[in-house]
Amino acid sequence: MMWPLAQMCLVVIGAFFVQSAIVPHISVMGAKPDIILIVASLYGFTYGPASGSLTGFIGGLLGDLLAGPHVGIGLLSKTIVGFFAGLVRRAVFLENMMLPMLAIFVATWLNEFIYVGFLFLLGETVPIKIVSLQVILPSAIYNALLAPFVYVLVHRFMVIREEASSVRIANKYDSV
Amino acid sequence: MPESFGRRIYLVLFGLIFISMIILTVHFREGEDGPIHRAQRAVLAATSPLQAVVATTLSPVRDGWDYLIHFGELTRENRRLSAEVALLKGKVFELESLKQENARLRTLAGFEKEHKIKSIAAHVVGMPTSNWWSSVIVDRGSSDGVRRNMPVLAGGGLVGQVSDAASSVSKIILLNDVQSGVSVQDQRTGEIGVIKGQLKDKTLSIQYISRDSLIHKGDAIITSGLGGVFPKGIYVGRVSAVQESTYSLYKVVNVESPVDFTNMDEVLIIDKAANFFFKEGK
Repeated sequence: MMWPLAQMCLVVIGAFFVQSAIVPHISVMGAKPDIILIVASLYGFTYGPASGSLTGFIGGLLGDLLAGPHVGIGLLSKTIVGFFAGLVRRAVFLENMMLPMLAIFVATWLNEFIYVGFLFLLGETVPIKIVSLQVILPSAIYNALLAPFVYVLVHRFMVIREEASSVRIANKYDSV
Repeated sequence: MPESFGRRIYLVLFGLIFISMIILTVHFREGEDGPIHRAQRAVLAATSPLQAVVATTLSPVRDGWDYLIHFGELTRENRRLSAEVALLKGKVFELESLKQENARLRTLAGFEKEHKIKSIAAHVVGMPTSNWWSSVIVDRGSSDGVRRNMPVLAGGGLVGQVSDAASSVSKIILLNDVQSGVSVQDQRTGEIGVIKGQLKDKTLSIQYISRDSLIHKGDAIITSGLGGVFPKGIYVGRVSAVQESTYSLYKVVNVESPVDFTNMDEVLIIDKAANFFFKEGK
């Protein structure tokens, strides 16, 4: 259990460094992708709600410490999105990338609406219609398009070899 | 990390949400030296070297790309600016003679004014990473004398203020951030308002300008000096549009800044400013 957790932490830290160093230079018409959100969603699709929410929690915390004036909002939204990504994992097959792309498009909307909701609670004025069209929609499209590339980069770290007991017994007798 | 679906995962979710709420509350209530603010400075210091390396590496690529994309626009702008320079040269001579006359009159009146502007030059090493917030990271920190709330200038106008200073790097909240609020005044009419960034498109607009205001397009906007963070008279920009709403008590005043917030290389952090005179684009 510890090694997969350490692997996940390393992947999230890697995603965080990409978010902080590379993402500002690859914005398209002002829209920036959210690599941490993509990674949290992919962990949710692969391992389920607990892993998705934990990945979102760690990634969200790092993201908030770097960029957010309110540390905790991005943390909350990504934790919840990671959890929901885990809930739909049986409907999302990573072999066919169209479904995860669509799921990440929806996950971005969910993440940003939770974020906007908390901003509203903290007294920010949010013109929801304009923000939806000018901020959230371009980001959701960008995240969806980047998802396959992010998946290719991180999936090797997400593979956990689990040998069934029958395989372990067979190996034991092979070595005799 | 295989797992079975059950009540346990909801406990994990609510546990993480509970911790998030605690972090949010603590950050909101703690002071500048609180543990979360210190963690923010640590993250700032840890990420800035990589940001600087990537920014330096990608700079020629970005410049080349911008050149190709905006070649036609650059040619037109060059022509326009050449004409503007010729016009401004005449104004400079005019202002120079007024300055000399002013100095003579001050001497006659027994005035003594001293200009003390201590500034710290810094390079931008990190650009905004989020769609929601506009802040940049610069390569000067508390060891260079940078402190929280210091005003920051670039490209002939106000850029923002220092929001956090680690030992060797600082974070600057830009003027077009939705959280930023700076007291400004119209140089012509003297009316005072608060300039803020817009969440939707990161443009600048002045709030609390009365419906009866005489403010109009082309007016120069400068800092008012109210609030004590920004010295009076720093150039902010020019009014680009004034709109009235039937149902609002205030006018909507949009401001165009001389600063390109998406493409900054160097900034000037103002340490101490006494008698800061308005100088547009200098």
